[in-house]
Amino acid sequence: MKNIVLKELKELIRDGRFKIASIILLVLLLIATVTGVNQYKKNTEQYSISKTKERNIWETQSEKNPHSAAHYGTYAFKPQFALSLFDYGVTQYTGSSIFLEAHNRNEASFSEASDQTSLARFGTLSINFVLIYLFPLIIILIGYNAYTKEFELKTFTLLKSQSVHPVKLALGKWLATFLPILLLTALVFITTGIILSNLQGVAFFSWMSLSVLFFTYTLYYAVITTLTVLISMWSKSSGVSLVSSLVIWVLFSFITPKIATNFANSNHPYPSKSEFASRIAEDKQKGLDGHNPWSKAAKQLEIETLKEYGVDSISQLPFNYAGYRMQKGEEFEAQVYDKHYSILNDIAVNQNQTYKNLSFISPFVPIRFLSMDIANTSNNLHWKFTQAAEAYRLEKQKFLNYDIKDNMKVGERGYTMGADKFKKLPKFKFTPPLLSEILSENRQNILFIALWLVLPFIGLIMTSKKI
Amino acid sequence: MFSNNLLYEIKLLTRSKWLLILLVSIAMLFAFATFNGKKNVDKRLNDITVVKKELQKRDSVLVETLKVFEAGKKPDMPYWQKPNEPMTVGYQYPRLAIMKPQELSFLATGQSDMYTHFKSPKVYGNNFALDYSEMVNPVQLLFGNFDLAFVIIYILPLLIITFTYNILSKEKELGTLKLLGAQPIAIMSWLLQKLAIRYVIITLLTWIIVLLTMLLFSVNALAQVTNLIGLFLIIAAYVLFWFVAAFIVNVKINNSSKNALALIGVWLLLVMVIPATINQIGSALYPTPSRLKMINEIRLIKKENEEKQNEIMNDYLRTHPELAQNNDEQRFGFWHNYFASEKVMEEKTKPLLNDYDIQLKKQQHLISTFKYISPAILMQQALNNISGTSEKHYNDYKKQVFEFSVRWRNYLVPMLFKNEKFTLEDYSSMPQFNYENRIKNEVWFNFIALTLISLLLFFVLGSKHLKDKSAKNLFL
Repeated sequence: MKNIVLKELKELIRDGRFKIASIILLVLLLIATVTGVNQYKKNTEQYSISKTKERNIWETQSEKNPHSAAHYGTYAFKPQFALSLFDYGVTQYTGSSIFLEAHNRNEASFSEASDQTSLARFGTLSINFVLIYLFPLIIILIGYNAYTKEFELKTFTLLKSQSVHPVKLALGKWLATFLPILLLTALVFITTGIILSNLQGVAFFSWMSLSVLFFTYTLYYAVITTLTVLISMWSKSSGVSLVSSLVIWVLFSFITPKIATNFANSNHPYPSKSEFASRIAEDKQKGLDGHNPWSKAAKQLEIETLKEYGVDSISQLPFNYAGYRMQKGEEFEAQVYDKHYSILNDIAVNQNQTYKNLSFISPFVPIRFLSMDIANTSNNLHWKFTQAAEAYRLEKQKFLNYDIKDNMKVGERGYTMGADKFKKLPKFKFTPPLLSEILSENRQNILFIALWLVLPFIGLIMTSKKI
Repeated sequence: MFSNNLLYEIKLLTRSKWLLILLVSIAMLFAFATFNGKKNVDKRLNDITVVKKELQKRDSVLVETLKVFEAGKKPDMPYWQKPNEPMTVGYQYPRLAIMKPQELSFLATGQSDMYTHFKSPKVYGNNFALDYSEMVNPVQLLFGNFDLAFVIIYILPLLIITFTYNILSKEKELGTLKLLGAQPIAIMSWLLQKLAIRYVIITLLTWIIVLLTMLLFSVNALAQVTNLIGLFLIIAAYVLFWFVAAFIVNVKINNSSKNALALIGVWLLLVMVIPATINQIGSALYPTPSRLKMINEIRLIKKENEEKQNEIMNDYLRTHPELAQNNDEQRFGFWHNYFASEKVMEEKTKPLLNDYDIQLKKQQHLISTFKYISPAILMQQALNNISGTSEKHYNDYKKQVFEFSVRWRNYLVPMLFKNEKFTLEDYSSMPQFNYENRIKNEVWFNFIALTLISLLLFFVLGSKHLKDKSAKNLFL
């Protein structure tokens, strides 16, 4: 078997096409890395500048009523995660800043894609782009004629007459196709790791995550290798083998994900933004508005509060009722938002499930999702970030409303809050989920990849015995 | 000789299964893509109907209440809900600015999955910095849609490649090339005739299938004669490009499997690698101005002008203008101050946003000059343009909405300052938004560019072989 692998590899090295293709890919990787590092640095720098500046603006705002400060608001910025250098995921399509103000839960605004031309829809050259789209092509280029060349040169009968074990032959061909790509991939990941560990201001980089990513991609390549060699066994000529492998590749990486988009859209449609907003407005109207003391809900709250404290009028309460009502109103509104955003997230989860369910047609899909998740550039991560920002917004509202409640005298006009107090508001922090969490969320994807790995491989072994 | 060649070609094609496979795959892919595109447009129309209905519902309340007021009654409602106040109408009953899909929008999703198609600019607030993004799962944007544009740009070339990659090399490999050489026709003319026949077949097939699928899913599109002609021409030019590529590869390499690899390589390069690389290098060299930086700058301006605004108006009321005093006299002053304080902010932030916009446009313009490097990019732009889903269309829509918001404000604010009430008569004379597709359809230009590129390639790379009538090197 060793001889088979060595012979194939020797042939490969002598083949000009492999050299040219590898050189082109390495050049592309180089471009992707250099420009990527450049952008990464710039974005990280901008992120930390913006964060500091915004905090400074918050702390040094002029003295004002706490509720006005709540409207003045502040921003939550999404940090750049280390592995976003490797896989941009959906970051281009999600904004990275959320305005946090009173009464409203805002969406992350200003996605990069909405500032770009439609050229961006062709995709962006990143390390992941080369790895997930182009590396499989190298495998096909190496392996499409693994068997067909033996058929065409009539050397297959020779091989058989030399009593080469068919399974060993298959494994040898498989390894010879897989090893070069494994080597290239290892090179890419080690370089990425070295670059990331030497960059300054990198957030949340771990070699462990990178290794898992490496492992994920090699699994994908193993799947593609198996399929390519298998197709080569089945095909009568190299041309047919090549075309069939390429059709499979197009089906995996383009057609299936795109068809999934249309399925997801028609089975789990998103509401339009205005529909979403009007549903929220409708629900909000049913409950407490912190500004409106005359509504039914406000009167109800008043009665309950008076009862709780055993007093007859709000002026007898041990705190400022206006602040208390404002906070209760905020809490009610937050519930409304939470309800509707959860519905929205459920739709997104269902849509993503539609994609993942098509994993049985394409191993590309589970790999794509897993890669984004590990790199912290997925939709899932973005949802966690928006949830964290919302939790922080509520914390901020409480901080401000309770200042009214505890410090403003009843009926006092012109009460203000100053810089010393603004400084006391805790800072927004966001930590991404742990790798173990991410992996356990991706169980289905991992299962599909495992199936893709095992089933065709069994097919390969069985077919090898038959030919 | 041409008629012989034609006859032979037709016989060959009808007897081989290739033509059938090709026909079936083009038909299925086009039908499915058209169906999907239509579905997306239907969703867009459906969303529009929903918001329109909602507006009608609100409007009927408005009309009813106005009738009550005009009957001289005084319903018990707080000031900020009274619809005879122009500001209430301006804020709570804004008009809808709808961007209707074009008849051919189903062709290409373009940017339509990212942006909203309706907006309600209000009488106060930041109408020059509205958010136009639509709610969408970013994963969908990442993977994209299976629409006609995808089939035409990505898949059609692959079908052409399978149809043409071995046109000459096959003869050589079968040993019939020498026989051909003995015929009274130059090999080059024979090859060109053969390619031309296949070109006409594929182009006609594609046209017919496009027409049929439209007939099936979107009959109205057939009325768009000029756009359809544009579409057909641009498809013909794109197909031509791939035939030229096939010709060059056939005469230069002339070995079936190497031909296939070379053509796939060209496809990869033009459809995937070059666009993605341009996109990445372009945004590295000419980055879009940072939005985070812009946020910082706007916040700073707001902070600096806060005091100026405070002098004009209390910050509490500024954030809640609907809570203004009930009293007529105070109200007049209130709105006067409100607009004055808003103006302070607008005057300061607008130049910044404008600068940002100019920078962005410059960047987009620079990037778009790269489109000539790949016919796939040219094709994408042409299809987006025909569909009315390009970024230009959305930028223009934003502009139209802003223009409308100015009209809306100018219609109501004078009423306020003249202390007039909003009446039923005013309701029927309110300004209405009408989206107009003001973007020049550059499909002719794209068509000419694409054809020129193809011809240039044909003559420059193929000239040596075209002159070589005996085609000696083809036999090697």
